[in-house]
Amino acid sequence: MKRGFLIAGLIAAAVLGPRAALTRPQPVRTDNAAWKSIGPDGGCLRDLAVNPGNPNDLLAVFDSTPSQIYRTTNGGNTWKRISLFGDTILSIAFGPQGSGRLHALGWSSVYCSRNGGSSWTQLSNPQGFTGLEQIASHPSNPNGLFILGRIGSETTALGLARTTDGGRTWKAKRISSDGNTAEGYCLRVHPRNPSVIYVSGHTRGSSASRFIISRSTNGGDSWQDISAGTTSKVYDLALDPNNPSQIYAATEWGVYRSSDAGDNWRNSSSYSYAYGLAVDPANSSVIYAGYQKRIYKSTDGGVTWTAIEGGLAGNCRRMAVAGNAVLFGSRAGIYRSADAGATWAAAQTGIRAGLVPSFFVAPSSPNVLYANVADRGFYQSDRFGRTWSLLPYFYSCDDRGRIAAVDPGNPRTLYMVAPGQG
Amino acid sequence: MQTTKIDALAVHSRNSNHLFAGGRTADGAMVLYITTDGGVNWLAKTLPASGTASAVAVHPSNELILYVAGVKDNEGVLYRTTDGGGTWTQSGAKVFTGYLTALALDPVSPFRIYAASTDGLYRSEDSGVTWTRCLETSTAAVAVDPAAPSHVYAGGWAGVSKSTDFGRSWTDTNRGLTVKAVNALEFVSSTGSLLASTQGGGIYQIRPGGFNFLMLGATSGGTIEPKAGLYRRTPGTRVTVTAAPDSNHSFLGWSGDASGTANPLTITVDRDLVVRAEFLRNLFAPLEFKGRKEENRSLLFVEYINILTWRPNPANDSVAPYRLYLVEGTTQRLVASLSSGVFEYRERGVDKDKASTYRLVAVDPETNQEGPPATVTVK
Repeated sequence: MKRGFLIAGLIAAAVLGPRAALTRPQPVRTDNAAWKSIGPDGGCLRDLAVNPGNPNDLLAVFDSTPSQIYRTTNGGNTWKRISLFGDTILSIAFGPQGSGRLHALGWSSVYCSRNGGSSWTQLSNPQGFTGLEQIASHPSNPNGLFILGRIGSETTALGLARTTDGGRTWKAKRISSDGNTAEGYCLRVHPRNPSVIYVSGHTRGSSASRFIISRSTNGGDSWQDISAGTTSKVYDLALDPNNPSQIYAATEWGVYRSSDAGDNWRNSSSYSYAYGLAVDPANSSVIYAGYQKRIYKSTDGGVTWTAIEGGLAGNCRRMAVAGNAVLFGSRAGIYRSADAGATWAAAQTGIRAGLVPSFFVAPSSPNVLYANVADRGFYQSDRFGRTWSLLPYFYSCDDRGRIAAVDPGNPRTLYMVAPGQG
Repeated sequence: MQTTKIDALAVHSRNSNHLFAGGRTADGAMVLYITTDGGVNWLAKTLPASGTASAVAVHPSNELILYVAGVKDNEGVLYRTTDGGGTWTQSGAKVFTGYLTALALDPVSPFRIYAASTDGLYRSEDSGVTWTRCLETSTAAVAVDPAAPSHVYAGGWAGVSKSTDFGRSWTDTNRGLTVKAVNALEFVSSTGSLLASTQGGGIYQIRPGGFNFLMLGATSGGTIEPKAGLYRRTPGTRVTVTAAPDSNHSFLGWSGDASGTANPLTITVDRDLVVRAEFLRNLFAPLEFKGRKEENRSLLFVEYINILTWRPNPANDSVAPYRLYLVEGTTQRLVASLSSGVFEYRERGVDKDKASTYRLVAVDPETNQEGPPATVTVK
């Protein structure tokens, strides 16, 4: 930092008036040069979790190597990185209310933190799993955990593992029959009766894909397929916290609802598509369904839905109600609405997890930068990364790299390859 | 442009209307589109290969020399043209085993080229005729420090490696780089910052060490080459600075960490240095500086007035104001500051019998500098 100011000062001196004092540069310590993040804020969200005891306290994990876990204690206004993982973290969960525990599930292992993410203990892995997918905490036992994953050695099926002793011993049961591949999307535990567990996912056999919603009413010992009525991937399940028999399923064919714990399902009577779902705990008739760059909101318990656009970006991965705010987490970052979903703004201050395939420096102005952020578009900074603004031309270049160039004479002119060709 | 997939774009460093876009045509040929009018008209230069262009590099001083990296038959290929795309020569056939991801030319010696690939970094010292694989880790980005072209940075999944000897040896430079998967590297040459964009950590900035600063400045009345500014140079670099006074100005000499009047001046940057060129305006004495004493008699009193007159010196290129001094023994006392359109001064109430010696000088209002005096004695 200090050196940064020094050099800025020297440049200012060099371009000042003819008689301005020329100050001698201070000797520069050259041996401790370090990289410093300059943004832009944001990242590709993987999972979002709300503290059951404090709706303004949330965890977010982002796709990067190493994985980064961020936490907010003000409902998403500002975020702080609490942990870095060498493992790729797929799913995170708060422990039961008052336990102070955090749980994280990675490609290769299960982790528990008792100090707010400063350090993590690697738990033993459940036996017989070839892939770990989703984690959920027991609602009252701090040592209770559920893991949804791929079970089996030669072929794979979905399975659930559970522990009641902090991962010393695990019990595992098969949920679906074997397929060539299996994927678990969602794992939800009844908030008051942890014998009731719901999972969604799919298995792809040699002939056809089969989408799964399964329910256990005995803590995972046996499973019942309750997917009748859905023919799409079920990306997310939401249980009404006030009446957990009322269940919602997010699919690309609409948001399904069941008022009898999944025995019978009904599709919504107006268009709704969803990758993420959240029920407002303060008013169970209000449900938010996150989709591509937009949400659907229902105020009648999922019967009818209204689409809301504007201010949102990316494919939704998780929705959450955080106190008075609604959060939309997507591949493009985290967005927040303080007016029950009507208007949205980015809420990712402090999150430095952006996927930036390329960036462009203005040759004629050392302070002007452009960043090509995957799933988001082009950001511009006039102040060398101290502030960034999203350019109005909304286009993401994904993994394509050097497809823009800044005019060497004019820092405001950016040449860019237009999308949609070839 | 016809239906085309564009995967690489470059703009010429000196002419912003000249753009180069590499990609693949609808029928699968590798192609480079060139515009010289800012993108209104594009000229297609098809390469003798199928596949897509993944990187384009333009010679910094001769834009007829272009390099296009691409993928052909699942192999990295590089083509070079010296006639703006009329004819293409394959460079490094059977050399590159991986995909080429980025190209960088040494800005000072552009015959030295770096080609980043998924199989490492390759370097050519002969404009692409022969290549050496100088780094074996998968590389997505390469940048050459414009202030010290021996300093090369290579970025990939494992972070950033730095070489100070044109890529012969490498050390990791990852302190503070939380997310190490680097997609792109570029220098901000005016500040010496190196930026790295990553897959999951945004953009990072570093100020590479191992430099001395050279601060070049000039007073008004002249210019220097290299121009005034802050430069970073590797210790021991010799820099030659030339001072060029503007018309009607003179170069007085060097100040700061240099002295004397040698021009050009060669300095060795062995520590942080400040060097400034001092220029002065050429001023000449006013012409026909004359004086006489007159008696001014009124009803009530008699006084004596020294009347001084002069003519401006046309060699003082623009009109200069004046200062009038009265010589008193070995010192002089300022009598008046006079604007440039005044050619007469009356000093009233002088002693009838005392001789007075005056000096008149032209003044540069910008620098306050005085020219040589014209002198007159009034008796």
